[in-house]
Amino acid sequence: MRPDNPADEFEQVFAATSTNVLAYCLRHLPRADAEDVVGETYVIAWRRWHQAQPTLPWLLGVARNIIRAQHRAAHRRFALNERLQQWDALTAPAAEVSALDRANALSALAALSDDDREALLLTAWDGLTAAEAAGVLGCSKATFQVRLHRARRRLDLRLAEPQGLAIQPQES
Amino acid sequence: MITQRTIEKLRPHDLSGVAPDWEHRRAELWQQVAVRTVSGSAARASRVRRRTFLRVGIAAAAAALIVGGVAPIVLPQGSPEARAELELLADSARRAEPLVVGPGHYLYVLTDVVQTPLENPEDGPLAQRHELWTAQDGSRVVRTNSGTGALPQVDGPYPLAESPTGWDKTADMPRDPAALERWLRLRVSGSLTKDEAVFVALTDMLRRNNPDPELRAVMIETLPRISQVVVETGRADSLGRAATVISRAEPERQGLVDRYYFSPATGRFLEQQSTIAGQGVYRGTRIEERVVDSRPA
Repeated sequence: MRPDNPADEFEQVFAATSTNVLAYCLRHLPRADAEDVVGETYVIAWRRWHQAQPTLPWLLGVARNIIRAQHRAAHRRFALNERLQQWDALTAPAAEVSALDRANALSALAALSDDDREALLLTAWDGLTAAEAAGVLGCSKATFQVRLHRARRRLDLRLAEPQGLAIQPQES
Repeated sequence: MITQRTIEKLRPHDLSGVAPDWEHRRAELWQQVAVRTVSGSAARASRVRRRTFLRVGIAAAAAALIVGGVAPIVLPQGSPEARAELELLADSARRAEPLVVGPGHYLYVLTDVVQTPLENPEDGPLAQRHELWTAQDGSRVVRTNSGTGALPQVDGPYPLAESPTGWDKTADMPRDPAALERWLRLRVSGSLTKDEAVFVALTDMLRRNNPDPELRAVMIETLPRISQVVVETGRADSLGRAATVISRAEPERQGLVDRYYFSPATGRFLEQQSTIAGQGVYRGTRIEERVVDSRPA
């Protein structure tokens, strides 16, 4: 049921979407910084509340731009091995995916450019449609589809490469 | 075999692995957000967590402007919102990395220009590419479709005749918006009104000169002191880059509007579009801008 006042409605939006926004931020930043960005994202959402109630794609777009505008240096410091550890903790252990495949898949993701990874994961992990993901990235749907296609092709190439750096399973 | 489907299967479903206390933290975070939004003042919130929110606040608000999905808003000159939006843009400019041109280096600027003749539209638009290398001393080499050399008509620095600022020499310009406005009003000329002349000077210097980040920010902060200035947020230039647009329609001119697109992330110039009675007559798009160590002879 729709709450009677905007404050309650805003709180409901926060409750319904903040986990998704944090999950997005955790792909880019260490946790403390990620939470900062989540908080700021909703402050902005409230500022714009009278114009449009925020959707998840819109919120992710705000978070993305905060990260890009303010956290570039931190992002650089968020070293690859730290990122991999955080993604490993972030991603759900899937029964049908072996630990080795999981490690190799994350390595392949890490080897992609930030732009390719962003295009892939906005759809694969955040569950956005192409049009929604295009809105997050500030491009047209057609442009996004081209980017996504290219990113998928590059991921396929990465996945086809020998996984020499993957962690080998322990011998029993 | 690993496939893209594998990636999809790894989609995060909960945050217990990386943020096991998220439920608790989320409640705390909501309290902090609520104080700043639905139930309290920004001042109280900044005391609660000053480090966090002040650090990202202004940039975040600027970032929000460049997100798709929200209708662009047009803010008239003089409104508190317009002033606030320009302050956000100025803050981005202030924090942006400067393009420092040292000895033996050049600022390389690549611009695509499209001009549409009003009188003979059947001739079609004229497209031209400008490449410009400017040295520390302001000397320039220009390469266009029509040749290479010192072509003075292409994007030279804004001329202030009585007190030449030069290209990169802006040390004597005031670093306060009110003072800069007064300083410019005493020196600019060549427009129908003083306000138009100051606006042209500011936008030209933002576009054609290379002011340091602080002066660039002060120039932006000076814009709302001029009449008829309009700010549009959430726009995109012809290349799809997020932009804050600043324009001014001079009442003494019939329908000519120059619109300047600036990056909300850096405050740097992206594009100029000119229209007469709503018809596009000029578009100059900055494609590239960087410091290089060589230039054509």
